[in-house]
Amino acid sequence: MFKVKMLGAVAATLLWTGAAVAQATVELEPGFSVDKELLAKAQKEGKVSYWCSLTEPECAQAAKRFEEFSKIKVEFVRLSTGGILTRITKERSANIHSVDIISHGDPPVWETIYKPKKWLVQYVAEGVKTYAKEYKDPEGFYAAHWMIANGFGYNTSQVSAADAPKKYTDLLDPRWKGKIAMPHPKHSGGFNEAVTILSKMFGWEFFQKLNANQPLVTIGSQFNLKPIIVNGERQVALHGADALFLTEAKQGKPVGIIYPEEGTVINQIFAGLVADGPSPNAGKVLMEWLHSASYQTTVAASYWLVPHPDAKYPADRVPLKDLKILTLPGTEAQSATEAREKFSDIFGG
Amino acid sequence: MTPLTGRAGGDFAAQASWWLAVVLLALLIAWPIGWLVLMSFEDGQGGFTLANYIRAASAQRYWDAAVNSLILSTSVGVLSVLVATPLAWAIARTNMPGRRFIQVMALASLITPGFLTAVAWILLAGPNAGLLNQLFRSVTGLEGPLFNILSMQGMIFVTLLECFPFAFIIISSALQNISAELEDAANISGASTARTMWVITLPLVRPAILAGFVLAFLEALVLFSSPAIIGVPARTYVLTTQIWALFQFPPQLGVASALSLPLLLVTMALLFVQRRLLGRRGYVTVTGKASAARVIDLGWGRWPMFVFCLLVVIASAGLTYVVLFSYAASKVWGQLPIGANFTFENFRLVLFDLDSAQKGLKNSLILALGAATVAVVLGGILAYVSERRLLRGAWAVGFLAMAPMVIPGIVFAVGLFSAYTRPPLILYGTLWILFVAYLTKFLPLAYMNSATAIKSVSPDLEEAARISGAGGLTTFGRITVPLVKQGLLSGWFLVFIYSLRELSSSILLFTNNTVVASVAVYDLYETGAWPQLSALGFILLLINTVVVAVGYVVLGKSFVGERP
Repeated sequence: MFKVKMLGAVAATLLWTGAAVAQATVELEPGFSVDKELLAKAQKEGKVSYWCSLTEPECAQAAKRFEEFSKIKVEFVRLSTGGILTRITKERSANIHSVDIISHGDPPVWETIYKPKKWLVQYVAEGVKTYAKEYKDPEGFYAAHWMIANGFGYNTSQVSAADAPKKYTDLLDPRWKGKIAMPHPKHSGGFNEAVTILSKMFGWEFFQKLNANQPLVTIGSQFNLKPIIVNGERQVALHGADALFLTEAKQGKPVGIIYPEEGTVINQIFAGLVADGPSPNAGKVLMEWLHSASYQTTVAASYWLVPHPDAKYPADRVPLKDLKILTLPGTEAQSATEAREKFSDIFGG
Repeated sequence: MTPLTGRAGGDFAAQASWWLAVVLLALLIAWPIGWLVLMSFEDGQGGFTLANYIRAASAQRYWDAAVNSLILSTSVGVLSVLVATPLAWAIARTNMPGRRFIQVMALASLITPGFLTAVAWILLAGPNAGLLNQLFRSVTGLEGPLFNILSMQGMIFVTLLECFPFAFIIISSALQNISAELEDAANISGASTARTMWVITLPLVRPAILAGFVLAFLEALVLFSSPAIIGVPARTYVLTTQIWALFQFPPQLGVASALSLPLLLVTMALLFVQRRLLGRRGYVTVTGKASAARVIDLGWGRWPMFVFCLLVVIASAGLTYVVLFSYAASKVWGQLPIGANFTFENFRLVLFDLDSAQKGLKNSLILALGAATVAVVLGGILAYVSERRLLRGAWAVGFLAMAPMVIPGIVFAVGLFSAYTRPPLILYGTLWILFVAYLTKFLPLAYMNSATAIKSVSPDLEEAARISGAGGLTTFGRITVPLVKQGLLSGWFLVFIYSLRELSSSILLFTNNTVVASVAVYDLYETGAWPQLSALGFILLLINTVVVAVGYVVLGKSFVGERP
């Protein structure tokens, strides 16, 4: 009898706490809930300013979806790393606080500029707690919310899968002379990560020998390698964003992607909550969503990699767990800077 | 000789207006440039340093880049004049067939954003996949490419296509203003058409030719698009591409401004040389008794002339748009966009799915209209003040008005940002900051066009008005403005077009609600979406063509470069 009473009390307690939890959070879309009080404060702010790093249609789509379920307006601006860096530097020096969430790649920028300058606040979204440690700042200032896996994008009408390069050192073979394209680390932070990693792995002789094969050096991010390969101006992209090549291949374009045996360089795209933003609570709600499995499943549908273990990938994409990955920690800023200069000494620029 | 000081400029209302314009100019230009100068001497913590200049001067790669920049802009300046002068002359003074068509096409090439031209030429003349090279290989069976656009020569070529219209517009409008008397006199004295042109016409438009050279030279010096898209793959780095790299991590804005400011000295030197070469009095060609210019009969020679002009505009505008359209409308590039290979998808995407394209277009049009109108009013008054030396120190006006022309866009944007994000003027986040940016950046175009026109108008007419009792402002408004209408209109048109395609400042200054069309276009380039980029570029061209057509209807025969 006593036992039953005890059980009853436990059950009642559980029910009560369960109800309390149910009361404190609100489900905004299937699988995504936020704190009710936080949402109320956020809705009072009414809008959130977000510097988005995906392509514009992707940013617009995400903004629209978020606005629909949260009733919070998203003002997004699409900018690349250089643009964000210059802009936030100038904004801060003029004491302007226009943005709540910034997002871009380049780990050293986050570690050696934003953190010491205290431009970010610590905020660990629920989803971030599920990430592997490589994909988040241990101090909680920033975490990846999507990632670019870079391999050898190649033109399948010019190169067969069997003949395509399988590892980085294959690219040194004279048969690839005049057939390779790659970005410049002075213009692509993502490629700068790769150059730093590869120079540590193989030494600078790798790039000296690569130079003998006269690779085409493009301006802008690695995204600009895609048209060069699709059009057949060059046959193989060193550091091609796999998502772009997978998308093109799905649309019937003659391109494929190969993940180098030595490992795939991953560019993490971080998001951080800005200190003294105009809408700190709305910023938190949006941040919770950016780190949710439901949002990241949408991002993964365009073949990007995502850090959330519960996000679903399309069937024709190698999931994150099956890739041998190479990443550059943000603390490697010094070697990244040296790598840019060394690269420029060899390839010019 | 200072014929007008204290007379045409004498009354209070006029003096006040001249001063107002000069003060406005000083604020507009000196404020952002002042911030740049400050930044170049700043150590990042607010202290004074020379380190930025030392870093800029001690790196061999910046000297190499400076040499490449000089080669590029000198070649482009000279070639621009060589291409633009016959083109402008043929349209303005001869009976060459298809004049109006050639003119519209030349203007179309002016409208085309530079990186669209560059992308189109990579598709056309890329060493491996370029259409022209593929064609050449399949016809001749040879291995090598016919023309490798990814080279120094290729960069000069594409930059020329972007810059020669500057020279074209300014030379065209000068040719309108020449009276026929001198040419008639030469003809009557037995000179042939060719000799008349060589001995009379060309020397008369020499100020405009020089101005055209200066404009094309300066534009090539600060251009980013083709040096980036063609120069970098060609491993030919120029100052602008090196400066651009300084905005990446680790950002070195101080070094970037230290690298840009010496360009101001180059401008000053160029403008000084120009002034010395031209002197002042000798080129007055519009007098009170001007008769309309005659049409010169080229005889059989009008056909080779036509072919030459046609080739120029096909390279600069025609091919670009054919290529962009085909690229956007083909499923498989390299085959004709017809039948199963045709797709409307890319056009649909940018028209309906790309918010920034719609929003941007509206903002761009508002900004271009506003900037062009204000720039012409301000530029016209300033040119008048400077050319007629109405104020003490008027010589400085010309230099100041031309200064924004030579600061690379992205660096200038930083100056603008610093200038208009703190009291007394906080414009960031509104369209006003973009308006001020465009006005400042393109004032040189309005100024230079007005100045060239005013230079060729004799002050005699103004003096006559003054003697008859007209005030300074009345004289300016009733006598000078009607006489230089052509130059003012050219200036308006140039500022309008350049505002529509301005990118480098916009990209730092736009916000969610103030996105502009060029940013939308560039964004597509940056994400590797060339087919959509081509589609949007093509749509922009159509819209611009409508604007040009409206210009024709509204302005009639006084439209840019047209024989009145």
